[in-house]
Amino acid sequence: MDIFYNFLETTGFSQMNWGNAIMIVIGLIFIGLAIIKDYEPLLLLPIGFGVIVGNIPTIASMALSVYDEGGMVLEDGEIHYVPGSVLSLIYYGVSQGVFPPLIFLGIGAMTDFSTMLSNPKLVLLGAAAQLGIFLTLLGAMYLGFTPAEAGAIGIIGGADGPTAIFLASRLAPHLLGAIAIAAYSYMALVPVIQPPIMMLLTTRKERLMRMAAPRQVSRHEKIIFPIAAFLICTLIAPGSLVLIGMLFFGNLMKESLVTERLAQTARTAMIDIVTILLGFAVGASTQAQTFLRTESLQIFGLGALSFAIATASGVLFAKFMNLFLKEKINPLLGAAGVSAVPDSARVVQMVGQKEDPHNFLLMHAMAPNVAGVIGSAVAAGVLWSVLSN
Amino acid sequence: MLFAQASGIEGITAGNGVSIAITGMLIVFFALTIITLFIRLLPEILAWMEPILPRLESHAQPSSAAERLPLDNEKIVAAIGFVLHLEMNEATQSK
Repeated sequence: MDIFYNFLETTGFSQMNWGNAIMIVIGLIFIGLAIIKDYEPLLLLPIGFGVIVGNIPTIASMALSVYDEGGMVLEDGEIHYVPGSVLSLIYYGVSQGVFPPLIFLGIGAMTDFSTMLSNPKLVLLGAAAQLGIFLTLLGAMYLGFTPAEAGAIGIIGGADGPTAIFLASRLAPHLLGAIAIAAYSYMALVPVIQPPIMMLLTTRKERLMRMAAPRQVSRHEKIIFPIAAFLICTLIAPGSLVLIGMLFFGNLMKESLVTERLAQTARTAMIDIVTILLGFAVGASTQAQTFLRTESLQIFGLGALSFAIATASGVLFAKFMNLFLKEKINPLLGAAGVSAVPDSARVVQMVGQKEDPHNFLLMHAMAPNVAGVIGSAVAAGVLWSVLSN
Repeated sequence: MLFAQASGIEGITAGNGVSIAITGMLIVFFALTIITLFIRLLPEILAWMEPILPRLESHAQPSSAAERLPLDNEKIVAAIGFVLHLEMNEATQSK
C-alpha cells in the first residue's frame, strides 16, 4: 500500500499547481485558435501542445523537462555523467540558436525576390518598419529592463519569430520563452492587429491607388542579388552573418537552378522538421514557474506596442516617400514592411481589396515584406554587436 | 529577474538607449539603401558586362551533373529491369 501512496504522490495531479493549470489552458487556447480559427496553425499547434507538455509537473529525480540538461557531476570524489532529458536535447536547438538559421535557409529557398528587384524603392519600406524594434527598445529600458533584455524584447517588432528567438538566445536567454511566444502570437495575430492601424493612417483615395505591373527580372539579376546583398549586409553588420548568410544561401540554391533538389528539400521537408521541433520546444519551455511572471506580461505589452509602431511607421514612411515620388506607392504596402512573410503581404491585399476588389497588391507587397526580413535580420545583427559587449 | 537598477528616463539614459536606437535605425536604413541603389544599378551593370557574361536561360535549366546522377541511375535500373523481364518471358515461353 505504501508503494501505491508513494506513486500517488508522484502523479501530475498531486503536484499540479494553479500556474501549471493556467498554462495548460493557454496551450489549449493556442490549439483551439490553430484548429478552429486557422490562425498560423503551423506555429500555434506545435507551440500549444508544447505548452501543455511543458506544464505537466515532473518528478525531481527524473530528467523530463526541457531545462534538465545533462552534464558532469562530482559525487563522492568521482565525476559522473548525468544524462539530460530528451526534451532538453530538442531545446538545445532553440537555446543555442541552431533552429532559426535553418528556418532562414528554408525561407531563402522559397523566397522570390523578383518584385523587390523590379521595384527597388519598396525596399526602403522594409527599413522603415524596423522603427518598431528601436522604439520598443527604449520602452523596455523605460520599464527597467537591462539594455540586452530590451534589445531582445524590441526585436519582437520585427515580426520575425526565428530572428526574435535567435537574438533572445544570444542576449537574454532567461526571457526566451516569453519573447518567442509573444513574437509568434503577434505573427499569428497579423490579420487582427494590422488592419485597424492601416485604415486609421490612410485615406480611401490612398487605399485605392494601383501599382504599375513589375518588370521582368533577368536570371543574372536573380543570381547576383543574393551574393551581393549578403556581402552588403554582413560587411555593414557582421552580427547578421548567420541569419542573412543562411537566407541568401537558400535563395542562391533556388535561383541558380542547378541545386533544385537541395532547394526543394530546404523549403519543404527541412523547414517543416525544424518548425515542428522549434515550435514544440519553445512551447515546452514555458513552464509556469519561469513563464508566469510580471515581466512576461510586460514583454507581451511591449511586443504589441512594437508591432503596432512597426506597422504605423511603414505606412507613414510610404506616405512620406509619396511626397517626392512621381510614381506613387499605395501606402498600404508600408504595413508589409514587418517581416511576417507572407501574412502581412496578405493583409495588405485583403485591406486593398476591401476598397477595390480588382486591385491586386499582393505581389507588390511581397517586396517590402522580404525587405523586412532582411531589415529585421540586420537590426538583430546590430543589436547583438552593440549589446553583447 | 534581471532588471536594471534604473528605470524611467534614467533607465534609458543609463543604458545609452537613444544612441543605440538612432545608430541601429541608421545602420538598417544605410544597409537597405545600399541594397536599393545596388538593385537600381544592377540592370545597367549587367548591360555593360553583357559581352563577358555567360548566357543563361531564363527558364528552368536541366539539372547539374551532380543532380542528374540519381535520375540516370534510375534509368539504368529501369533498363536492366526491362531486359531481365524480356529474358524471363523468353525463358518461360521456351519451356
